[in-house]
Amino acid sequence: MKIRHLLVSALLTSAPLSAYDAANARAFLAQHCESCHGAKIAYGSLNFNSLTPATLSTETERWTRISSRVRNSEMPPRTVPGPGVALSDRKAFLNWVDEGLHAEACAGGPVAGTSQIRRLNRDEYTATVRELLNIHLDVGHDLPADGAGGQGFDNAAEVLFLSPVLVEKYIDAAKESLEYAVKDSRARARIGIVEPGPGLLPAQAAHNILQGFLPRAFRRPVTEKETEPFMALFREAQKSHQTFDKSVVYMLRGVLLSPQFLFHAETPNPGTSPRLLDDYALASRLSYFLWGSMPDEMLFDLAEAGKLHEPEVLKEEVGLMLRSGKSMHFIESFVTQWLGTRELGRDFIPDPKIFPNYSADADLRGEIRFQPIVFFHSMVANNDPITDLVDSDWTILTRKLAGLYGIDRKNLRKDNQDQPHRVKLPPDSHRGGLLGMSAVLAVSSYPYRTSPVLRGKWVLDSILGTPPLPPPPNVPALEEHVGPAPKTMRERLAQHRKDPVCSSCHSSIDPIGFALENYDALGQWRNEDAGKPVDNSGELPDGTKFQGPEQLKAVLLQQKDLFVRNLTSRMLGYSLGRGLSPKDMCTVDSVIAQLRNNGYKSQVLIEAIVMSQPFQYQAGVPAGAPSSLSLKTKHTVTESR
Amino acid sequence: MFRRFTVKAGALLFFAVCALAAENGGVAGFSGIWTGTMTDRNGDPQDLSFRFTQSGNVLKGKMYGDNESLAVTGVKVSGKELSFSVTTELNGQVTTFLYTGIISGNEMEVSRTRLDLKPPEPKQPDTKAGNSASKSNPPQTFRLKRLT
Repeated sequence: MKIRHLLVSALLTSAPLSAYDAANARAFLAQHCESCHGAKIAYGSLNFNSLTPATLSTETERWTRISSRVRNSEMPPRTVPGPGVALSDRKAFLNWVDEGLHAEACAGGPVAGTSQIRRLNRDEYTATVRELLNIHLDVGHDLPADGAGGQGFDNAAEVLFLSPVLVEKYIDAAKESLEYAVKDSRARARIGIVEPGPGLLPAQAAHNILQGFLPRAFRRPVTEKETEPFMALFREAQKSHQTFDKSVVYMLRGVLLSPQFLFHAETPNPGTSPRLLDDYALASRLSYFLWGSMPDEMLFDLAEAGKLHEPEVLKEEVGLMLRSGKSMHFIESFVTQWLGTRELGRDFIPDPKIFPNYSADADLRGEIRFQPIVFFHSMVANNDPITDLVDSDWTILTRKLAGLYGIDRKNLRKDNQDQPHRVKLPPDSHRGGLLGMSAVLAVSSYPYRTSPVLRGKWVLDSILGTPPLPPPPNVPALEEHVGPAPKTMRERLAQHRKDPVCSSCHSSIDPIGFALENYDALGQWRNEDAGKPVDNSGELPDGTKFQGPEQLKAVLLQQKDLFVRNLTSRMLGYSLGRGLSPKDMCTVDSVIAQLRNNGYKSQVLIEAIVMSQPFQYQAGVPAGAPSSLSLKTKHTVTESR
Repeated sequence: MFRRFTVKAGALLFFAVCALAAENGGVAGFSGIWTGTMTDRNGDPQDLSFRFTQSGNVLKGKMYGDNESLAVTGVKVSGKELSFSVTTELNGQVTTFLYTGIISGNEMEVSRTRLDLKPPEPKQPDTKAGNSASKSNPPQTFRLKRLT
């Protein structure tokens, strides 16, 4: 339990550490670990007599696991008799491990990192089919939702496996979309369907279609050999006396079910050294990062010209892509998953009895949900600093949002007030940054009341990237309205914290939430809670005191390195479609340095990620490891039959 | 000796022709991908990107779009000057834009005019119609930068 206190105080304060070296670490292990992981007993085959601190640079994965278990207070176990580990000891040991691992990870500078094969997620699949066929149909509507993995996003390779059920859904989706497309003149033009006729045999016409369609579907040039399995499908359909259109549909279904289409399939790097991605793979990485869909014609042309890797061209292209309307997909996907606001209106709905204004007004619901998305978009479009996400003198409002927030409409633009637009906030509006937004304040509450615990946890996790540990099993629930007089949330939590087991953690979490208590569960401002004035004061374990959201935001901005690291790590993970490893920390550091040198400008964050080593390079196969899976077209034919 | 002289002269001639082509534009001078930002009628920035490719002595082109590319037609090159048209169709309404550009190194100063509206008339302070036409269809100018 104490580790939560430790974690938060360690991360919210930047007190210099006293000199701590391998001898101190050795003593820590001898005192707290070796009784179970030593020469006599070595649970989990872990023996700190052989895994000495000197192995920190060679056994990085094991030390990362050790660090994680100690950090999460899983080790030493609470059941071990004795006084336990002093907070300062644990903190010093963890810092020593982290610094050692960081030094090791950065010994050779930023590295490419692993390049995992991953399936297009549901949104990417839908957008890609839409673009490929030029149809406006939600072809992915029947596909199951993808879970979150990696840095917390649904495009992470770790969770994008292919189940038999999903294959069946893909078969149905491909059939539905292609049968729709061949009846639509625009879609036929996009696919390149030209009917056979005099001088053009059906097989020739089908071959012509494939020559245009296949490179776009596979997002790279294809060889003649690669078209053959699909031509075989066409011939098979023709043998069964199918019409030309039906034969084409049958052939293209094979394409839409092929691994080269369904997966982000980069040509594996067979060498042991990192390799610069080819231009087509880079075009795909860019388009799925910034658009959530396949590359457009310009990206393909730049890749064909071999120019995409040129820094000036790439920067210009990133700017164009961000200014395109298609970048809203990236921003919506990234922001709603990062902040957890994706669930608002779906799994999380504010209580209609308490918040009838929310339940009765569909426009307001949409505007609440879109406020953080449009805010992020505006921030990027104007190249504002990312610290505006913590606090800003502007926000995105509509007429109805202004009403919800009690902001005078004279602050809005004169026309089109129903459309979300950027507004300079009046003094004391309490609406700067994410913490003043209804969507954020709602998803960090219960549907029927606020929760300083949930809000404190949300800030620690989403803003600072230092999530507290999950509560221990059998933790008692918060007492609801017991006794003669209604109690304020602070009073009820104070009662909760009387339990020493709860106190050590909640003393770090709750104060942050208390500072936000002026916002109700829908984010409306209030001065009273249960008939008593709201007490919005908080004090962190290190003694830092604050009162209300403005002072809390000032405290958070004092720790902006944590916030910047968190946002950078999340966006890098999103861009790569995988979780980050300790080896990626050098890249994160490099991006942070570029941000620091450029006033934390938001476009710098995106550009620096695109220019980074892991984004542009493929790691090699470690010597002795099996080579990467190569995707064979043969699988396609079997599946499509 | 004579052969070496011929090679040198040939090389010089080649570079002279290239330099002339670059200076004057010419079909080859316009080849490549060009991109720039124009301010639209609402005052919002709008990115425009084109690709021109040389096919013999003819210049072909396309304008990149969010959804699909549009054909560039009626391409004319005269020294450093280029003109072409692009026709768009939105909800059944067909609009043609005429683009004229002057190349200067890796940049092109471009002017765009809608062809279905009246071109601006000479300034006539006392004529309301003249003012209205001028407001409705002023040529929009912007700069394209060579990307490749």
